[in-house]
Amino acid sequence: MPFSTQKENFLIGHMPALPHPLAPISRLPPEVLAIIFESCTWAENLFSLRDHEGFPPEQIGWMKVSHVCRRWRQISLGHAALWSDINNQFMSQPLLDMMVQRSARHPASLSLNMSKLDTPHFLSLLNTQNMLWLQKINIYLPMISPSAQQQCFSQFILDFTKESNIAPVLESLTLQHEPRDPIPIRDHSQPPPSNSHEAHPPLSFVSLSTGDFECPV
Amino acid sequence: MPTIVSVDDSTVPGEGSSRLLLLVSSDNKHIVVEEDIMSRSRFISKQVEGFEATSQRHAILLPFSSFVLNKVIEYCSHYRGYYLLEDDPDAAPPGRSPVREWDQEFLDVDRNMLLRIIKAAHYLEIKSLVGSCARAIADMIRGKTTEEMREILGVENDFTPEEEHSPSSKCTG
Repeated sequence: MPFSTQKENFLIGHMPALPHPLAPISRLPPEVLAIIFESCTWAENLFSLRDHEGFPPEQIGWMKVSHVCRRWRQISLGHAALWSDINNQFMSQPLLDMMVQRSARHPASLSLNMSKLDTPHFLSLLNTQNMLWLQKINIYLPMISPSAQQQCFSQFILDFTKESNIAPVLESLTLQHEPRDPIPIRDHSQPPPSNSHEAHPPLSFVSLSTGDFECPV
Repeated sequence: MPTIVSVDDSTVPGEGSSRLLLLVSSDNKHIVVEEDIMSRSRFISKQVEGFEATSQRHAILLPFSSFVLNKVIEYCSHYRGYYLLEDDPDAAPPGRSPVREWDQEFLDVDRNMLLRIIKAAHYLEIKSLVGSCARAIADMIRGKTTEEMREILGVENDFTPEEEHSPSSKCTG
């Protein structure tokens, strides 16, 4: 049998297994691939990072889809919803910043354990620009946190209660503080904060848990 | 864009309590189906509204095979009359809820068929079916390496070696 025929037969025999530009996956519209990628976040969410401590991020969870091919990378990086569940519990600082950058003004959820953040990084994550698109904020301040972290936490609460519309799409705010010293949540030199619902219209859930907050009437 | 052709009354049975639609697949198979069954498809519903405006009978030409179309009709028939939250226009994007038990069996097909079904469901705007297919595909690649994902879904690695090993892609996921 001529070599060319052998080669042709080999290729035909292996055709179903070979990736091809006309393969069904290549013909899916970008929006369908984006839905599949979002399903991957549901199936293999950030908490799966717990089982992979020390693994490079690109080998963990659904983020791998951005490393499959150029098209998948382009679609996944352009789909802000994919990066909008931001949690520093199991993520390195560069990965956290990358998530914030890629969530690109899509309504996002931000969960921070302050024991894993330095103060400048905390402030940069909760700057006024980022606050514009945060839909859920969950901040946990453990008892062992240094006083600088406690002050930072306190300042965040103070700013939040004093200023209107700093978080126009915020729907849920959860602040967890393990008690050591009470944390003041009002600046006595200032007039009482306005009603939180008026100041933050979409905010429908606020939880202050397990801590001592000094909040004079 | 869908192509709509006029058909004569003998092709589509007359209007009764349950009207009938004629769907024509890309392999030119004519499939008659009750309108109620296909009402889960927003695409079909919009087409039917258009028919009512012109008071003409029509067939709807669809760009996928009868094999795929029959699978979609099977799905719609199973959930006929059921309210599925994912199909609500105000519902969250599809693919973020567990796959229903019946859907798991229904979608126990080979990779290419699954991809054809999700493409058809997207075309027909059946969000619940898109979501179930997306979850099924996500489950196929869960916990797999990028190389395994490529093999499972038949994707070609078109990154250059330089791109694959660039720090910007390595350290930032």
